[in-house]
Amino acid sequence: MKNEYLHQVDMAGFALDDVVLYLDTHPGDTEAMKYYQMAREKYRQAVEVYTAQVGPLFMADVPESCTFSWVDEPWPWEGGCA
Amino acid sequence: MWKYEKRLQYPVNISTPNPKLAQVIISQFGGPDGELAASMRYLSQRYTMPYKECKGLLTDIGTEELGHLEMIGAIVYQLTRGLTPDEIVASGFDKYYVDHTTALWPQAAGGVPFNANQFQSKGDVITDLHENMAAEQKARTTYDNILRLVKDHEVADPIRFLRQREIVHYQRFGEALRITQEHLDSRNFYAFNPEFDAPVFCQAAPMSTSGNNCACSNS
Repeated sequence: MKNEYLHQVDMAGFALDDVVLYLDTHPGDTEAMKYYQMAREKYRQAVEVYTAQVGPLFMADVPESCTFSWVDEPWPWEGGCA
Repeated sequence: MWKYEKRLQYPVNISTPNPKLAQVIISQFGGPDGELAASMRYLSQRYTMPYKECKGLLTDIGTEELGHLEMIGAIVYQLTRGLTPDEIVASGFDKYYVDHTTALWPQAAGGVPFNANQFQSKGDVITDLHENMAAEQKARTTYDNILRLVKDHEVADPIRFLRQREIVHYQRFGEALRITQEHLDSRNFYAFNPEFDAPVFCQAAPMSTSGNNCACSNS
């Protein structure tokens, strides 16, 4: 389930990364601007769900607690272990 | 400035170590056509770049390349996790291991350390955009070379993603070159260097007007 939350962030985040590069060289493309707004909304929602269900993706999103969950493992490069 | 997002751009989950392969893939960490050189190339070039589209593109691709550097780091890390001394010797990883253990260090596959001479920041937009288009193709070739050697789909999958991004970046830099040429004299693109010979304005330069013809009400 944790992986599914991450997958949603990865997919929406990638759509955003890709359309931003396109918009850099086509800043007047209104269709691409619509796609950007759609991708950005999906990304925001996916980040919100991931942060609530798994943990913070950004150091400014660490929930109020007596411990600092930002340092919780695994870090992104630590995948692949059973 | 930059802020860290605690995930990879594309997942890397490798369950079987392969130090021989790690020694090849590390070239995309610190080698001549690797991700570190890519990021430093674009993030260095952007300061004197004319035209807002080029400044934005160099910033955003340079940022994405840092994410790719992290993905390559993850691949090399996972391919060298939990090795025994016998495995280190048998795979030929011993020559790297003696200096770095299993830590990441930016070098080419042949052991040549990362060097800023592996990229150029020339201060001429036509020169730099051609440098960048060539760099994307060189990285694509390197990923093709790596893919011929990879049999583990857990390694090939993220490498294919990175290869594909080189092609997209090449396309975008080509568009930046077209935008640049539209600003220049089509009879002589080299009549002057807009990064040096043209006056520099403190705010939006008069030449950077393209793309403002959007019909949105909030433009």
